[in-house]
Amino acid sequence: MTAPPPARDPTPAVEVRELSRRFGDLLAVDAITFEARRGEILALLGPNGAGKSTTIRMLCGLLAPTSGSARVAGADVVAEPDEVKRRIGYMSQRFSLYGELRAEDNLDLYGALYGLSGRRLRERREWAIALTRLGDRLGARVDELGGGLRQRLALACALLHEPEVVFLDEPTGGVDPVMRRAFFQLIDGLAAGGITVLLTTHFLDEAEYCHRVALISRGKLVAEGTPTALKELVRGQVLVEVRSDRPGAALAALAALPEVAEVTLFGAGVHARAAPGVPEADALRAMAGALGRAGVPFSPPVAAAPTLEDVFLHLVAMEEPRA
Amino acid sequence: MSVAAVARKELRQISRDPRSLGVLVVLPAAMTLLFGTVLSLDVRRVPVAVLDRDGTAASRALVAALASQEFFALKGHVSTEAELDRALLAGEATVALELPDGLERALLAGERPAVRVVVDGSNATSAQTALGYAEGFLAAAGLRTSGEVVAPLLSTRLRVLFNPELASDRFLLPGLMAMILMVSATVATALSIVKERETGTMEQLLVSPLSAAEVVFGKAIPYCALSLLAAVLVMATAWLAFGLVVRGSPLLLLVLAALFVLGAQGLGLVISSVTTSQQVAFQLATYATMLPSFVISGFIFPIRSMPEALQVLSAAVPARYFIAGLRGVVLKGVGLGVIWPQVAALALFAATMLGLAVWRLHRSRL
Amino acid sequence: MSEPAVSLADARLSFGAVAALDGMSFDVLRGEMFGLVGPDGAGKTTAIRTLLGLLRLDGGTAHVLGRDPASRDRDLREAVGYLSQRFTLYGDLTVDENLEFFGEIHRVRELASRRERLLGFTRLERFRRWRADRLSGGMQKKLALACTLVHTPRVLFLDEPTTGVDPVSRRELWALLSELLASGLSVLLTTPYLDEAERCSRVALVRRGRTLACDTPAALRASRRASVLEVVCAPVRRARDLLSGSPRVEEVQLFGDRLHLVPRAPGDGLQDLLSGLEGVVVSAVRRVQPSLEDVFIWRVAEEAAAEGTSP
Repeated sequence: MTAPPPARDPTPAVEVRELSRRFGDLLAVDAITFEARRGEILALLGPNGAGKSTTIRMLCGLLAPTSGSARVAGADVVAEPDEVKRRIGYMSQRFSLYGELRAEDNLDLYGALYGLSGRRLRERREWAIALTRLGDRLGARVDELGGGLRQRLALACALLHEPEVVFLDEPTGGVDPVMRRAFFQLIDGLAAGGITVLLTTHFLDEAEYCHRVALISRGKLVAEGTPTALKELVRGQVLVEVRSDRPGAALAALAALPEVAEVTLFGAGVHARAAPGVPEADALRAMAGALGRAGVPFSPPVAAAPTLEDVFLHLVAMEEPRA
Repeated sequence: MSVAAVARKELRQISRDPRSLGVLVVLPAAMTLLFGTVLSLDVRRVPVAVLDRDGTAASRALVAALASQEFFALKGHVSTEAELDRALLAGEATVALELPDGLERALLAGERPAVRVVVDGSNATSAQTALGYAEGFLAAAGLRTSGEVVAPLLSTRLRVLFNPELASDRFLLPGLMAMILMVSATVATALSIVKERETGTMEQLLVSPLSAAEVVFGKAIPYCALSLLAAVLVMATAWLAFGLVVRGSPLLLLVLAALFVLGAQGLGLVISSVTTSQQVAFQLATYATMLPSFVISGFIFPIRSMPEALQVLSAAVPARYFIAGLRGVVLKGVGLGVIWPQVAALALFAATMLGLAVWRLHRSRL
Repeated sequence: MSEPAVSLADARLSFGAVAALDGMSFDVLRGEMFGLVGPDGAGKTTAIRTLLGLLRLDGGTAHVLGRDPASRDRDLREAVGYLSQRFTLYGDLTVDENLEFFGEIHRVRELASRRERLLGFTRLERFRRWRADRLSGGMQKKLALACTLVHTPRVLFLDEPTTGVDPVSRRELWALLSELLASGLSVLLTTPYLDEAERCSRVALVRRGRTLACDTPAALRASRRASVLEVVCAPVRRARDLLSGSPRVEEVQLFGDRLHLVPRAPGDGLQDLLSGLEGVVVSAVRRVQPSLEDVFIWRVAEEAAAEGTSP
């Protein structure tokens, strides 16, 4: 049984209002507005090039916005970017650590960078060692450590100076699901203690672990809410899973149907999305009929659970590439 | 043909990269111009101090003639030997000339007076040259002053073949061209394979039916063509800026250049196959070519004057053969009959390097 | 039973002290989309490179279309296509030129018409004169795919083909791949994303150079015979803490605003337990299929328990 969470300051830890950034002709970030409450884990989800990194750079005080405003940990990013930098932590799995240095060297380096010294440094260092469970690997070179340890070490370095808000840039990309779970347990523990976590990612798996998700595409905030709430947005759609031994043939049979808006290969079968306005029963009947006529063996279609990807695709139309 | 496909791709890529193109084709000519102008073993305006003990019309005429030569600059007259020594010591004069008392009388009497020439030897190379000029000048002056054909003060007969003015640029240009061509050819190809590895396209090539030989030759050919173009531009620059004319067959020259360049490219491709980043490839390519081509190829320092060990080492430097062949064709106008050993050596180097590149690529799977 | 298109049996390969492949085994049947799924370092890329003939095994066997890939048989190379993790395109060449080059080195006959078909198939005709490095990430992947298909391979190896690609382009890529399967192509793809593995006909879960499990996604999920309850509630951490203490709950996992519960007894709906949680408001309870991620983690834990090690 854990202690009740500390009384929360209702002021949002991160407040972003109409934040925009232009690079010449390109509007990389287009009037983004969102908030993150204290102790919350918020994911900025979107494909590469959507404007996530630019947004984060502005929130870290590294890049000035063209217009709009943002307050991070109580400091204004435009007026007091240096103060912002003091109050935040930043972790990037790929870039945070110096591979040729030892684990403890990295800790010392970050301590020094953030002006920690004396007793405070010692205390934080011990905290970091306990958090990362480095144990006897403290003296090992970072590039010899496994992915999970590196992740935790990078996180510890980012948190050494006890920031109120921490930015995690694709922290668990491609990593073992076992380690990913452990990592998120860690994050969750930190959030419970009042640290606000802002995660940027294009991996949907990571977003599922977060309290709230903000979908970003082409510089705009497309939707925002808990993963559950977001999936509700596609509730009106009829998503059907059809199992078949001949998925290719099933695909061909269903693609031609007017009742079917889209059908893709999925596992040992296909996923079909009914055209808007077509009731579920009609869609199922039509599909069963088409498959039967084509002589394709299939199991009875079942409703498929929507994923964040479905949400994303629903909200973002097929796009033209940028020049 | 697959080789043609690779060659065409390389050519397209190079042509879309104006900087690389500039470095490969234009830079050699530009560097020839720059270094050719600056680099000269010739000595100009050497400061001379004169101690004229004679003070006659003949001695004054001699000094005036000396002053009019462009490689001497008359610094001044001194009246004592001590002052002469001081002038040399202080570096005010590099050459000191002491005309003896009774010079005119001796010349008119048909004797051979000795003129004392002292040279500041602290810069050995220019001291030698200065001494040579002085002796040559005195020999010529001796003839003129006496107005008759007398035996010159020096008993040597100097006649310089093929480079009468002993213009050092003629001597140096082939070496310069060799060095510049080698460096640019090697570097360009050294970067080529590493870049493919860095971007990941090399994997695709390795996985395709292309053989290692097809890749190597497909890359070497367009680079070779461009390097030959660079060689032509270099020769043109040498002709326009320094008056260097090719005495021998231009075709033979191109053949020499082509073999040389192919060898350099082979070396570049080998380097490329053992390095992992473009930066390292570049550095390795530069060091592997610049130093040997400069120091032990015969570019400036004659091979025969080098220690035994270096002479042996120089046998492995392709620039040595290229320079020798180049000097032969350009300065002496000789044909294949004379320079076939150099051609054979270059062909051997090219074959070895390209073969090595093919073998390495064939073996490398990562 | 026809011969598999691709097979790896008890493959072993070490780089120095590190065992990249430690007895990995799997088969890819003809005409199927096979997923090799596992985290970084599991040996996926090593397995593919072995099957491409770029690496030689220390032990075990590898076969592609019945032949040993290490033999570097030219015919085999003609029959195989490979899309590596990085884009492997010539950025400074145009779309047309890239296709032309790859077609030529594979000695494709009637290259021009093949190229038109591929451009149409990938919907890149409008961009044919564009330099490849000007295309968006998703389009570059499509072009790269087209380049690997230009010589009509029978087996296609895709190494993490959708990493970093936006969901829209991802869908398009998958649509393209689906169409190809219908024409008889066999595809082996690797991915660290378990959600993507769901799209494959069969999947091999790999970790640390070994195969943990190999079957259809449905069968794998069914093998985890537990049911999973998705519970949306608040405050979610409090609920987790309360539930993890219950003997009726085998496992509780926090996902943002909800919990995934695995009851110890498969039929147990835990309704009374959930409604009785003090200070917790439960808004929704739903039975969900265990995801492949659940299966993966469970298998890892099982294996660790069997070995007596920690996962």
